[in-house]
Amino acid sequence: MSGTRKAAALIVAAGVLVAGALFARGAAEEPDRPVTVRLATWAGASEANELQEILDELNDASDRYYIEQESSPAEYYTNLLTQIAGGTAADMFWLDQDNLIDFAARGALLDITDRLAEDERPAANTSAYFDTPMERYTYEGRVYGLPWISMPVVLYVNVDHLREIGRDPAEVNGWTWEDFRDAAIEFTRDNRDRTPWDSGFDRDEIVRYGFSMVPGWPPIQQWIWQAGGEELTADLTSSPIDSDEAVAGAEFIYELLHEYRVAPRQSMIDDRGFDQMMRDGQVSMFMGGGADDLERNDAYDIRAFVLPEGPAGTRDNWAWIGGMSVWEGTNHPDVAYEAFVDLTQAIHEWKVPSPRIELANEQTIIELQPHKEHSAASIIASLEHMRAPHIFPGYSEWATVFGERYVDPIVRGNDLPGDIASDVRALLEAVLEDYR
Amino acid sequence: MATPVDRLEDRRARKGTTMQPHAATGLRFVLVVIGVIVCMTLVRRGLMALGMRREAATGFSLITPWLLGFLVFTSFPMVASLYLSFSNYDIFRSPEWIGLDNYRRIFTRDIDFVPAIRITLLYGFLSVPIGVAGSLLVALLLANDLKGIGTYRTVYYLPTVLPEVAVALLWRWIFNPQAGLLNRILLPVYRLLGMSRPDWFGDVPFVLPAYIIISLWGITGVNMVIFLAALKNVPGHLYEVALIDGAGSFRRFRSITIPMISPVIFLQVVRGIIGALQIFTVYAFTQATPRAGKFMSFYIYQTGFQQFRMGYASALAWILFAIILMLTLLVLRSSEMWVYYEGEKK
Repeated sequence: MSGTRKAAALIVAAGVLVAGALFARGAAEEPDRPVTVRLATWAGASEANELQEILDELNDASDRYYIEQESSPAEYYTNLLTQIAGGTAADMFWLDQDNLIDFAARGALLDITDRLAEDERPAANTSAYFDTPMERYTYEGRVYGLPWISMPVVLYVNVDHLREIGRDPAEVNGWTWEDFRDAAIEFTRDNRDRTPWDSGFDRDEIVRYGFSMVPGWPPIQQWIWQAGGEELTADLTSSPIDSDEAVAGAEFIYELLHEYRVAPRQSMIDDRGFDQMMRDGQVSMFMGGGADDLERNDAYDIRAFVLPEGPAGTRDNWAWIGGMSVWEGTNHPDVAYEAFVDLTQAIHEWKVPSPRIELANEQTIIELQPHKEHSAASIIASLEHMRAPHIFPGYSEWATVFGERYVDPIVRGNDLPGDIASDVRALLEAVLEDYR
Repeated sequence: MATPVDRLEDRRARKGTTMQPHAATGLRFVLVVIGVIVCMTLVRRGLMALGMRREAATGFSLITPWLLGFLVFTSFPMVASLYLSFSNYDIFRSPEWIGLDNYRRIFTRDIDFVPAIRITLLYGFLSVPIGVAGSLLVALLLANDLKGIGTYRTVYYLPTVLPEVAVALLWRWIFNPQAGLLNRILLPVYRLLGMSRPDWFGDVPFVLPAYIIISLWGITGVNMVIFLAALKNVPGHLYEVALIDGAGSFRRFRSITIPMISPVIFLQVVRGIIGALQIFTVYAFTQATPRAGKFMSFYIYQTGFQQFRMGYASALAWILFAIILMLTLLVLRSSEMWVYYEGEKK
């Protein structure tokens, strides 16, 4: 045997030995040991630490599974998609309402309908959930996940600023659109303490804003709904954003942002931080999820309230629903499902507001989040007005057109809703037609 | 009662029932190394069996790892994306062949395609000449043999070491409509013109100029260093002869410097076109209004990864590739008229 051949044979043999050793370690599964179940989340550092404590307790209590957390807050969905495409996704993963239908319709999620029906654990009882969140985890009559949070949008108000303009916090839950608009204008001040109502108000030197809004948040759909309009019908056949009601909702926002300039531009919000401006007292009112922790503030008294009532007499708010699903391609569907329900139950006892009716109460919120003492009642009241968009496989394309062609021109540009609504409706309905 | 340390040990013991990620990764790594060694050996033996000289066969064997990497990570994805561009592919399910439908839709129904192409091409046409001329200008300044010129060259190269994302965030601050440096400096001009401060990323007419200003960042760094090297390579005797003949500095620059560094200008133009038409990171982090049009690379990303239309995104990517190729070929063909290669036989 020549020297080169010997060397090559030695390298290959060594490699095979190492690989064999690794294989042997991998293959040495002991049946009485728990199965590792991977969990993908979008949790940031502090949220991941809190979740890990929950996982540690579950892992200690179970002989069947060991849940291993894989957190990737940046580009979460890109990572998830890539892993699913490559067949290496986690056994279960967090999914929000915007993405669940897309994933379910494309066969990426385990259908858990029958398993839930036979499961007696409280978190598996689908009738114990609010309708809105449960509907969002159901596709064509089958259940593909369970929600663990159902967060209504609430109105956070800086109560110190509110008192400064001579208003009482007790009246905020009874506000109409007009009350909200007037307060936003009164809160807004330039560097000479003038409001947009005062002559000489300098739009370039505003030091405090009454409200805060960028394209996409808070969702303009809320105002459309509160005015009695629809952006997308339940049968997914039309997007009547040019109806009088829908246009009235969008025009209210246009007036607020462009005629009175009560909100900072997006560039400023990007730099200073959306909620940070509220925390720092640079913005007096902010619409955020009920679970946001704006009340944790040493400088200002900030509280949550229900949204103002629109002309249609409703206070509909956008529900953000987060949940969890099991991957269709998991190697351990039974164990993964068991871990999935246990973890869902544990998260229900951690996150507020819970999507389960019995857990969504003032007392639970205050126990888990003591800083929400003054907000809890409004958060619970907001659950009654919660609405979620009608989502279909292709919603992300529809939402892109809606956001870029309708919301951005109104919020960031200077287009009147009535001028563009009909044209955008045609574009939106073309997307619906494609997915019909 | 178990202490926290006991529980931790217990948890560690519980793990390992399936193959650990690091073990699986290590195994794959070992297998890849073995596979590459086997391929190298096979290539060498195969070529020698075909009558190739031992030295040449060893050479081919040694470039086998790179060739394998090129085939697996570049050629295969390119061919695959070409196939996907003729398919309906949503990542989750197998691609479904739909012929030219994606391309037909792009050219007949896509409302975002024309604005995306328009802003991408405009950006390329405006930023490339400015970038090349700017780099050359800075390189000319730094080509002077002054005292401490090394420090200046280092300082001008420093921006290159900053990550692109950090640069994007820095520019976002500079362009801030109220507190940004640029609007603060230009405030007297705005007052003179009776206009309010523009929102550079929010007002449609200002979006393209904003990105062109940002592209000036690329004047320093690698482009400047390449020009500097080219300028230093121009033979000094040419300038001496021209000086004796009475040529002024502009004439020397036009008739000696430019022709002598024209191959490098050609290189910079080609690199500039390819880079400019693929702009992505800065746009993604500055979030300009989509009413001005989205740059093609971002539009491709949005279509593929946010809307699950990977087949359609592949078709868009191939159109962008064709445009870049066409412009590059155009510059290549035109180079016969303006690029001078020393020693070239005409």
